[in-house]
Amino acid sequence: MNKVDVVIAGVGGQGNLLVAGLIAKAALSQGLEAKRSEIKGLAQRGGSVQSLVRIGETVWSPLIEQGSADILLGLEPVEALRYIQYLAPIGKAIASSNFATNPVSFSQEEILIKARKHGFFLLPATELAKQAGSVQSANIVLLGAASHFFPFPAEVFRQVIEENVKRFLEENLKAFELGRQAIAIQQ
Amino acid sequence: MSRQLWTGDEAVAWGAIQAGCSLSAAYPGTPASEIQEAIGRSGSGVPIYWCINEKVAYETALGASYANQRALVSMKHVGLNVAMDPFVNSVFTGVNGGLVLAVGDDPSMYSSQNEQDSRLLAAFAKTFCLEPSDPQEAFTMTQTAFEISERLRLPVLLRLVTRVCYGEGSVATDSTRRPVNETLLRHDRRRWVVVPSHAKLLHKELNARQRELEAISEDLPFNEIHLLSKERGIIASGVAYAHVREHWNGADSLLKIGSYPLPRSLLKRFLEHCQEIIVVEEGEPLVERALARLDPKVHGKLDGTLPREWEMTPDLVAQALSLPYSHRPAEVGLPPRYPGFCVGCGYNRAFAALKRLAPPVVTGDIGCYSLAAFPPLEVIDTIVCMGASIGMALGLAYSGIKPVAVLGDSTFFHSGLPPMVDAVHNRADLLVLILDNEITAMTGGQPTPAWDNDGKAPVTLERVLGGLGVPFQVVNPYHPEAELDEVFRQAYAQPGPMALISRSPCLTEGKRRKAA
Repeated sequence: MNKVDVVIAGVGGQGNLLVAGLIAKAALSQGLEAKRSEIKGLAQRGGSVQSLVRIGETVWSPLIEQGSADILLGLEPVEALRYIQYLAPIGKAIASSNFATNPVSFSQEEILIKARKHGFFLLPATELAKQAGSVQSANIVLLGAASHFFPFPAEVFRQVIEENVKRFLEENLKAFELGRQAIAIQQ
Repeated sequence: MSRQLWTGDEAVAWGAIQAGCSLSAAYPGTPASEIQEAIGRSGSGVPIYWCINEKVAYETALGASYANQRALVSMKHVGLNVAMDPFVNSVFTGVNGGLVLAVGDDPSMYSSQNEQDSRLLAAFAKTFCLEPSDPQEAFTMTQTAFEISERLRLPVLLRLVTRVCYGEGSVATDSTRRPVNETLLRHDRRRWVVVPSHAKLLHKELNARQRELEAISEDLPFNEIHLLSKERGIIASGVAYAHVREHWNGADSLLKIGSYPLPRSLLKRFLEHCQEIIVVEEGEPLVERALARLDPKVHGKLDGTLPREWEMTPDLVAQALSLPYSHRPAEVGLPPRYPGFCVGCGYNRAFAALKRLAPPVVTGDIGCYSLAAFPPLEVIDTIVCMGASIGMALGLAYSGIKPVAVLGDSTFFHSGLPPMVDAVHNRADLLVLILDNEITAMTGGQPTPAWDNDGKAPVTLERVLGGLGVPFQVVNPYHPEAELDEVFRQAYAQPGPMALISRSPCLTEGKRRKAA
């Protein structure tokens, strides 16, 4: 079974759709099927964005059933928790521990505690992206972290990043590695 | 009690007058034009407005309804295609004063480009529909339509056909005329601002209320059941019922249909009683299709096996097919993430000035600026469909309330122009605030007709407003507050129509285009 259902949650401007596209392209390059859908609405104005990517031998529905996502990828911790009901019992939840600005006040510590309770792998994606040389690349850091859980080698992702990411390519490749290592270290 | 010989159109007109209607709006079209003609000739004092198109007519009536007035809007069947946007959305928002939409269908296309059945559009919009079979019913049903509209707080569609509109018949009337409603404003953004977060709930509510509509339909005297012979039964609606009565032998069972949603229990009883049923209706086989649906072997949205609102999902299919289905509970109490104006956006400043001006009602439109219906601004009171800011402002102005209509530059070009023409023509006392960010921003930065790129001719707001004869002023929203307030105050104080253009190029899209 090569099926991987991914829910990606974030805020407008975080590059959610780019990550979803890279996963779909990686799958296609391996001869798999892929379907992708997203809800962005007022995302441009700072709202929440959710994309769904499904890859596998055969994919019918563009949607993912609640309780069945293999990977929940959170570009932002609050947004990741917002979609926790999609995660399968044995699914992997990976999220950035760096918060996006929100005028609503809340306790960041409580959010992180909740995330840990759900077994999240948390990594400071924005800080790692800065380290890689491009603060915009937090999404690629997270993709690197998630890359352990796909039915093809990381090399496939490096390839699609090279083919599809035009700006800051070196920084993005470095971001991918930092993300990948962050999870390897935690495991 | 007296008897008059009236056409169906005249009967609708007098039905509306006697029901305390205080505004009639229409765009002419056969066979419905004579409804508003009759009101104009009636000497009743009910004001009539020949609007620039059916959409503006509908929005004008909706604006009057917002001010608690009873309003009639009439058009021909294809006119409803033009007015579908505000019609369908107004079933989500609901109405305040009774709103009756009289539509003249034209079977056999005596004077039309197609034939279509407006009962289907009432069903599509999920609102109540009455179908008179003759002028007497047209008169009675129009009054009932206003009552039902106010009881349900929904617009009611009166489905007429050429033979009812233009056919004359005797109508028994009495001279009692219901007083018009008091003009009042009841703001309720949860209903009147149909952004997704509100509309999702309104749709559930509307679906939940369909039983209530059905219950009213069951009780109306316009549906009649005669259970006679078991061998054959006839079901007929509207003018087709009149045709059937010509030939009815008094032995066959007979069911007359005059209201929609269909009176389900009557249909069920009839279905159980008769071995063979013939359905006679003008237009589409709407009743006939519904009968097929009453077979209990069929499951789906009608019996609650699947929900009737929001998208279909694999989750719902799994549950409907009784497959195993479970997931961990959603996290409750997470901080919400509201979208907001981009940092530095000029709209924010224009809305802050509008809030300080505090006009009695602000009608809004479709664009980034719908955010101003939400905290912290909460300045827009209604959002119904593209262009409805000015359309509804007309109905409010005609009801004696001075509104401010707010819309963006692209929306103004899309569908603000027609009601602007009506505003000038009728000297409507309203202020139009055009938020000009020089782009179609909400959808990602598409051009507007004001652009002069690639050798295109710029159609600027100044040229359009100047051509229409609308006095206008251009204001920079980044100017000091006191200065801004004075401009807003003076613009609002001047007898309308008047336009204020608040010009501040979109920063987000500007940045994006520079980057590209």
